[in-house]
Amino acid sequence: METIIAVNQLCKSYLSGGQSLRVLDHIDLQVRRGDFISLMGPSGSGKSTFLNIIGTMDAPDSGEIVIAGQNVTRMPETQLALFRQKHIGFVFQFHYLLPEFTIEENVAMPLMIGGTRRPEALKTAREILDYLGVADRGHHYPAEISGGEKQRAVVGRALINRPDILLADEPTGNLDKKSGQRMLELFKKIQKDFSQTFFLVTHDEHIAAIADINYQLDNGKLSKII
Amino acid sequence: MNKQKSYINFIVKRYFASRKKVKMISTTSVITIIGTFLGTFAIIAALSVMNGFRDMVFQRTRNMSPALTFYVKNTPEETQDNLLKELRESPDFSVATPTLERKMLISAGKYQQLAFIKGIRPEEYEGIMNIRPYLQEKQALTDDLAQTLFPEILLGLSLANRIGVSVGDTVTLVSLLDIRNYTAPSIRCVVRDLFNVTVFDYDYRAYMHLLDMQYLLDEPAYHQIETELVREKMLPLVQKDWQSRVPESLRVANWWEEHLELFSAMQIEKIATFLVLCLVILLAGFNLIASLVMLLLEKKWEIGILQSMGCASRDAYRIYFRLGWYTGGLGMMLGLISALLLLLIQQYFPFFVMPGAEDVYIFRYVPVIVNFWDVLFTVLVVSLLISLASLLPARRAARIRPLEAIRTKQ
Repeated sequence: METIIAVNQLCKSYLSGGQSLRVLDHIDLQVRRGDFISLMGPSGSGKSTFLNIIGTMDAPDSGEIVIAGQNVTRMPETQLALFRQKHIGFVFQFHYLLPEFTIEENVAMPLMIGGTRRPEALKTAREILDYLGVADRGHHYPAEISGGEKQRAVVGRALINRPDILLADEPTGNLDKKSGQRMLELFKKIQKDFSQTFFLVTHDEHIAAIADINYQLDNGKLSKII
Repeated sequence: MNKQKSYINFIVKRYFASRKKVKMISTTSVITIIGTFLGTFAIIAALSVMNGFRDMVFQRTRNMSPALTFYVKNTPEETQDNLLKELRESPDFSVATPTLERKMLISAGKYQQLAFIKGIRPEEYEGIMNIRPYLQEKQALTDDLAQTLFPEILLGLSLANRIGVSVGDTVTLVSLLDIRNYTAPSIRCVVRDLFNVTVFDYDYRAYMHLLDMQYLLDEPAYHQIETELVREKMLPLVQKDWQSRVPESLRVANWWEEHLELFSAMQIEKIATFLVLCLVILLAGFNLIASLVMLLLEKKWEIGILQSMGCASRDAYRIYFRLGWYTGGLGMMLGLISALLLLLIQQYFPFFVMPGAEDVYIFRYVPVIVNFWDVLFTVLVVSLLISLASLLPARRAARIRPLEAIRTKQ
């Protein structure tokens, strides 16, 4: 199967208490299209940093990342924004829905940023919301719906562009157990229905268990959990 | 409209409408809108009223001035006569009349004042100077001296007030510049009427019959030949033509050149007014910066999320730049529309009465002339100030890094 993410010798350090702390140390990773990957590790191990670098929201100190055949390591900011819009979808721990826009508009936003006309983008958003089971919440504002519904809307927003990879950073961290379980089931359904590639960061083993391939990040080193 | 622009405008409109929810931002935004509204309104209104006044001064100055004046003082009498004859025969001119002018001491009782006195041929001069509307008793100078007992004089109201005389009183003219054998020539005149043009230059002047003045100065020659044109629009061409036909030493000046200082002063006053009123817009500009920066702090994480979805830095710049324009532009448009509406009504269907103006200026309503170029220039300057004020928050928005912005919400 086609390799969708290729990470070669990736390094990233932070300054902490006047000392350089290497959180990612010569990491190599290959992800194939349709894979469901989980990345585990203790707090502060650099999981989110790794996810943000793959998501082109952060830059590595050295190494190379190729996503969907494009080397994004030294891509200018304007091109990166366009790249994110076409190839990457984010699901954060917190919903981060824009409060001035309805759920439909929030979901449609990535399409509109990409240049799709509003009526068409809203129509697609309604279809996605219907698929996610929250179609009746489309005209509501984020403050008017529950946490689980918000997170489903965020998944819709991440999916609407049919991205090559969907990055999720502790997606159930802010949900109760039941809602969290539903969210994970939804992820699996999406993977199955759309052959969607998932890259999920979590510190919870039970959540990681739904992934096809599990990785552990510790002391800057990435290792596969067998 | 391209597709990118439509999504930016969609966000801008929603942000603009939502600001009322944040009290402090809402207050500064309202102050900005009021500031640009008042500033734009005040600038256009002030310039239009100044245009109205200037036009009134132009009209009055033109009514009282010859189109072209030939300064013949230092030329021989024969040259003066030939030129006068030539001008009268020329198809360019409807009137050509000789005049004398001298600064003299005018006195009545214990009051004295130096003033310009002009000697004219009353009937001929009516073709040059339309003074009748400004005469208090509507009594012009008598053309036929045989019908008068004493020399007559018309005094500007300011001059008359200065020496404390009114219609029918007697004044004495003394030409101090013509002192010979320790005596200055003088003449007593009856005040025929007073005029009030409300232009300082004129209301300190006086007019008398040319023959009386020639007698007083013992000078048979003229100082000027004043003319009116058949076609006013031909003034620059006629002036150029006649300047080339007369001796080089003989100056030919048009009415505009004769009052250049006054008109320049009025223009400078207009520019100064414009600059002072721009300060109102400047103040609104600072408010705009404050409200946009506050909004940016409030919504920094939203820009970060938009960037994670593919919104480029230049689009974040555009969002805040346009947000500035929505706020400042709204005030400017309201100011522009209301100013044009009110001023054009005042210009064509005057309704706003200027208290006491009828007595002082001989007009009842505030004079207004809306000038297209003034309006355009005002809009351009206000637009420039709004753009400059929007620039700082927009540049800050463009510098936002998505990760850092999203973390501000956590």
